[in-house]
Amino acid sequence: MFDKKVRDPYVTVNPCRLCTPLGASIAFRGISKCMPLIHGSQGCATYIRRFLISHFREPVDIASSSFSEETAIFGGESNLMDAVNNVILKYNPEVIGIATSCLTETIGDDLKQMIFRLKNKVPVALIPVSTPSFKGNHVIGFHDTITAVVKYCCVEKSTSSKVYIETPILSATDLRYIKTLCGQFAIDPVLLADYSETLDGGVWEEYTPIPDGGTPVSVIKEAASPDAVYIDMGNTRGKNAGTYLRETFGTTYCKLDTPVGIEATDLFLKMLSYVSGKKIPESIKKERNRCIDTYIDAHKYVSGIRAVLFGDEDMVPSMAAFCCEIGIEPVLCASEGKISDEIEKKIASEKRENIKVVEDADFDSIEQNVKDLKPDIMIGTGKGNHISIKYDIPLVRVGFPIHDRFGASRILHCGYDGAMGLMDSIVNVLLSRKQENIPDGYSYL
Amino acid sequence: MDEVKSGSEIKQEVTLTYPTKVARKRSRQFIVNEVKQDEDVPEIMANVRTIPGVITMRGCAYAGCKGVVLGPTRDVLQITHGPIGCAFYSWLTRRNQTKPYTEDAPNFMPYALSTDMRDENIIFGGEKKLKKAIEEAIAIFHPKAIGIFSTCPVGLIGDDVHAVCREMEQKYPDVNIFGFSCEGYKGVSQSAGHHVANNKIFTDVVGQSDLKKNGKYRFNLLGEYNIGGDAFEIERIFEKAGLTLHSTFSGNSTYEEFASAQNVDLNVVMCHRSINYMAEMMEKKYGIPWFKVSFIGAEETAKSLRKIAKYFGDKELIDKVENVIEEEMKDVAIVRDKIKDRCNGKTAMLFVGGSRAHHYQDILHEIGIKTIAAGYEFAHRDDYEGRKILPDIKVDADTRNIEELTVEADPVAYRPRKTREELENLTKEGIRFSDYEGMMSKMPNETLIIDDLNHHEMDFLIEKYHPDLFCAGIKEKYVVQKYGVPMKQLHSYDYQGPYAGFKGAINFYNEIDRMVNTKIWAMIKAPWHDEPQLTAKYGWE
Repeated sequence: MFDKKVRDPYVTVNPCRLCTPLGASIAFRGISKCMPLIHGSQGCATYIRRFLISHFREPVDIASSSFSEETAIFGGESNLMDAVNNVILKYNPEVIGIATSCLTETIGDDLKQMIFRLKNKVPVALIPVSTPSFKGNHVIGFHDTITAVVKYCCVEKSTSSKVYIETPILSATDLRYIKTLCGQFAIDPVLLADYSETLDGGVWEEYTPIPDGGTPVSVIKEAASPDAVYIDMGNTRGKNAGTYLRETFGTTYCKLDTPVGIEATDLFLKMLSYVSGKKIPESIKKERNRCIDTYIDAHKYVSGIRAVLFGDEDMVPSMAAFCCEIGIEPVLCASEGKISDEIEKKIASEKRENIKVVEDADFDSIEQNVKDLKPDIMIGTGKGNHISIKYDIPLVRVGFPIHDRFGASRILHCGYDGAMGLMDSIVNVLLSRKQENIPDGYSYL
Repeated sequence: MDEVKSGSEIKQEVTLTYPTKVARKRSRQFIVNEVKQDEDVPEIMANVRTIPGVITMRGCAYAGCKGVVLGPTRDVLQITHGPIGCAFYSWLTRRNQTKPYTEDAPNFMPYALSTDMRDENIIFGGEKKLKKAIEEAIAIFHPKAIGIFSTCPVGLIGDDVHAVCREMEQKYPDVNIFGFSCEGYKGVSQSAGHHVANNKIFTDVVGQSDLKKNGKYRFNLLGEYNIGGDAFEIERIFEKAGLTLHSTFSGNSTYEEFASAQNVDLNVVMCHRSINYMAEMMEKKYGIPWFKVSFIGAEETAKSLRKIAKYFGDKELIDKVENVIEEEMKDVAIVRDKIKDRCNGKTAMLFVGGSRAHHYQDILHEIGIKTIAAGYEFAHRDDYEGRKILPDIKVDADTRNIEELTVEADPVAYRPRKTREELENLTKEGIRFSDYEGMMSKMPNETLIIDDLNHHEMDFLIEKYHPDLFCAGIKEKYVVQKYGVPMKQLHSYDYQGPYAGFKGAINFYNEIDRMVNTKIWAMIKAPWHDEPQLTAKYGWE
């Protein structure tokens, strides 16, 4: 079995995880006409905004109930009421997504009760989610928020036969691509959450208080139907929106890998074909063929290359499977979250022997491993740049967050197109490294 | 763009959009400028709580303490005590740079350390984990000093961070360990965190070392944070002029320089808001006079250099400073004049920080750009109206919660740097000791001064005025650009810089020229925008 390491539990040096309400904010941004509101000190909203904005390079408005010392002592109900009323007045949302913070979770503010008292006084949907950062990380915050939204919306049985897809935190381009793929099977999918427009929009012709796009609450309500299909991508989580829907309304629940790499994309397309009753379209077959062709052309460059993978628990297992598929050895898979079961599922046992899996990782533990393993390449978020520079190992940036390169929301990870793009990036990084080390720099490599 | 309205009309329109209570508050923070005799300006409400639910630019006390004041110091090991988010968000987020004197000198800036509190720490207390974390951190990094920064839950669950620091200091007598009670809910903005940071550095660090740097004219620069390499340019100029910069609070600084900051003859203050506490306390305890300077803009840089030279009073220094200014200004003038032709008469709005919204008006003025509205995120009334109104400021509960230290002259270390007569003479010659005239008295009448501008008001201003340039932070950047208005980040300088000093001014002129005169703004409207049916000719027809 593979070597599973847990680092010292006391001091975290250069963390690998972000806080829970950040994930909640991304998810709420994917709901139509929704304003996220963080119940706590305004620093939480401000830090999360500046962080998300520098990844997406888009406006990200998040309101705050702006706690002061007094509020922290006497509780935040009146601040929350003010905040909700001011948000309604200025932004006219249909939904306010309220995420808690470490502060409000510590003082034990009973958000559900507050909202119960508030909900009949305001004309918008108030959706609370509990997101303390001392429990969980941004990925958990993201999925917990989707669960909270689904539970809030789906109370009455419906008869729709829509297809719902809960994705991991992917790029805006990924989300658009998944929608296009579905469109080729005449499926109009409902993404949870769909921030493909809200966090990647164009210039405005007029003032836009809340960016257009996102999944409307009215559509989410229709998931409460035995004829609806709920596809859940990424890492396996115990209780989630999909299992809730299956247990309560008999919605068809389907657990799938994120379509990263050929094998995972094949499965996703088979699923779409099954759900729609349509054959795989010619254009997609051609796309797959081109992807295979790319793999064949590129395998001489990537075969046997040793890679260190790091990132969130949804991305790392998918990337590990992709690497194995193209012949790269993922010598280290590191994440703050739980990944070992997922990697075990995705990767054949003979390949797993050489893989070291680190959970509860911080960048210090990743650095120690990089020092020992001396990989050829690193594949992960932009936050690995220090290790990449220090040990002179090229870094191919994938996932979230990426602050140090341009176009993070345009990285396509999914589908055959995504696989080809990733392959191009990886091969080109390796080639440029090779070229640098040839004194007279051949033009053909 | 709407028809241009007067400041008062705009103010009325904005406040009408609010409910009465909010309108009343905002109308006192939304001022139409009117400068009277003796720099008298209208009263502005500042440093008061943000209205919940309006989307504010403000951060929290933790951000002000860990991020702003202590962040730029490279060899104080900083551990965030709390759940993970806060440490992550303050990890190399501000673009303060640093350059260790030698290759093997410690630089902890690329590291974010956190106790990463989990639910069991919240329930049973986090002191034990903090102690272990400090021990581990000492074993890994061997620092001279450690700062512990408390986040929201720490104050609420009652962890005694200061007691932990004392205990660990006894165990590791070679390491100076101190804690900052900068929980995010304290105060109304990051300003509270500045004060907390100033207090602790003053009581626990300044005076701990007796390092004396060589040089005749020794001084500290307070409130300069080396964003985009500003400090490197300022240091270059000082060195060229023969001045000895002992320590900067806190751009490109070290613990040792903080600890021996009392060994100087003058403090000059850049960002009055974040560091005036330190200047005042050092004056009281050690007798070091201070005055305000600015190195943003070539003219202000020259003025500040002349002021410093005049203070030390040596003919040799005064002449040398004049030579430096003359030499540097030649290059500045070439770029400035060229760019002024293209930027003259354009309008700008600045909403940033606690001093930048003032400083950057000067540099924009040098290339002919007028500021039509400005305001701070977290400043107090004195930063707007000048220090002379300090006695009139009512101390509210949020401010009272931040400790105000009582400082007295040190029986041993206090040494007046100038005689009373000398100080009086310098004052007559125009040096205003322990004073700051504020932003408003320098701004024309009818300009708008807005404290704690929120998102809604920003949108309103842009729609009404459509300025040629908007300066704020990253949170505002992409909204402003959606309107097709060039937006300059003045917190992180859009990852460029330096903008301070003479070379910085040249960078800034070029940068603004590039932004306001780029072709992109003209391309926003697609050719089919107004007439969907395009008429065009083939090239060969």
